[in-house]
Amino acid sequence: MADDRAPMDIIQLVAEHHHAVYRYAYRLAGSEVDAEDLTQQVFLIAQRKLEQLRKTESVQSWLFTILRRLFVKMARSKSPIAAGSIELNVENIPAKVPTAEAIDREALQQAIDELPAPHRAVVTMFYYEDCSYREIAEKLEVPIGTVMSRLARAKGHLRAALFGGGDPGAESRSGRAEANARG
Amino acid sequence: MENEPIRDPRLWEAMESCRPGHDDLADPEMAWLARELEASPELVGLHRRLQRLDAAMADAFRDVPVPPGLKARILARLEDTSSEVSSSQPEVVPATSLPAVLPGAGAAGPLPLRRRWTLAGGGLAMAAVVLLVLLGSLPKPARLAKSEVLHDAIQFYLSDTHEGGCPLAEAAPEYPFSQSLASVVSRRVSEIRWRSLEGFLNRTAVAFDVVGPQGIAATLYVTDCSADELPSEVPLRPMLSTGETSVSAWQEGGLLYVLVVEGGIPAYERFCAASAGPVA
Repeated sequence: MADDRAPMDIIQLVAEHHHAVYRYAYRLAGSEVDAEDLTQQVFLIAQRKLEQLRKTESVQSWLFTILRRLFVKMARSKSPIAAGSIELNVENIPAKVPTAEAIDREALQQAIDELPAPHRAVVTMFYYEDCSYREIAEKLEVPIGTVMSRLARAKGHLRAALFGGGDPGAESRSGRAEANARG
Repeated sequence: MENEPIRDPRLWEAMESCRPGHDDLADPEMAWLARELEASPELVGLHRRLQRLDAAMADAFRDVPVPPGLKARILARLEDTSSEVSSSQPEVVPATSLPAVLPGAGAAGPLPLRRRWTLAGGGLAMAAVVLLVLLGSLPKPARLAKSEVLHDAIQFYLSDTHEGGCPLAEAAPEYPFSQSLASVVSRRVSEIRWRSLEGFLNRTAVAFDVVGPQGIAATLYVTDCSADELPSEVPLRPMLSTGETSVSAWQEGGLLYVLVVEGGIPAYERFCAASAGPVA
């Protein structure tokens, strides 16, 4: 299949994708310092491996893959909650669905930070990258059933933290988020 | 809250896996869920509510302010790295500058002599370049120097961003895990995953990703080659540490093992602390 895409250079790559990579990195890492460091490392690796970028591959998806792998490496030594403690949570879907603006960003990030790294990666791929469960399984090289299980538990954890009831973290977060949702 | 309890985890997990704005229910894997939804208006209502909430969550996920000046800082770091790389390359001395360091090549020397030195210098430089090219194209010698192994391993590890891998308990890799390392860490690691890879010391290798005590991450590389001056079991102190990464190498069962631990010397020593008893 012919591909007319011009060869990419690193400056163009940074210009076009640094916002998306940083935002993704922030959601994964949970702090501005770590997110910026991850973002810089992504482009350092991209610079070294630019020749490996396949013509048919989405540039952004390639950068996200580098980012996820860096994050997993970084997070291996930090595991805030044991994976087994993230229960399937079928509660906490608000009767009145809040708008995106009403979701407390700080509470959201705090809830994401409480997730074990594998759950955080899956839920960020779902919400931020808009990946299907099948794509997540392929990219992470884990079974589909594992993806579904982690995704359901991670989403349940976020809802519990944001929309109250059974909040695994802090009551103040849910209260603030609910107030936002009502407002 | 208005939540109808769904006690079937499979049903709930499947609903949670459907993205808003996509027809994920059309996936053959989800045909059973589509049938369940058709049969239950209550479930449809819950599914729609979940989809609307997921759409709002996705928007919130993407709403992250980007710090000012980020692009400039990324480009500056890229440039720094490029200049570090180029400054660490051996300098090629221009052929015309060689006569100046040779005896009798001063500016006052007779012209024919200077020309001869220039030609000789040019020839030497050319020969040096040809030699370098030839050396570069030759296959790697069977035995490696210890320092080469350690430095190359750190470089490889820093750009080795693979994730996943096969649990060691499920399948055996081409090269075995180190017995001497297993004897000091086996009871304190949660899981060991392995993967095959190319290019480690220019060879085919196996990497074992290990999370050791206190969450210290490490990767053990194994390949089939020999290196000079290496012990026959895992050293309990690193041979080289950059402060962020510590590494050691040893020769065991005819294979070369290189352990790269994330962290400085204390992290390496905690990882290898011999307190776990015999091999599990």
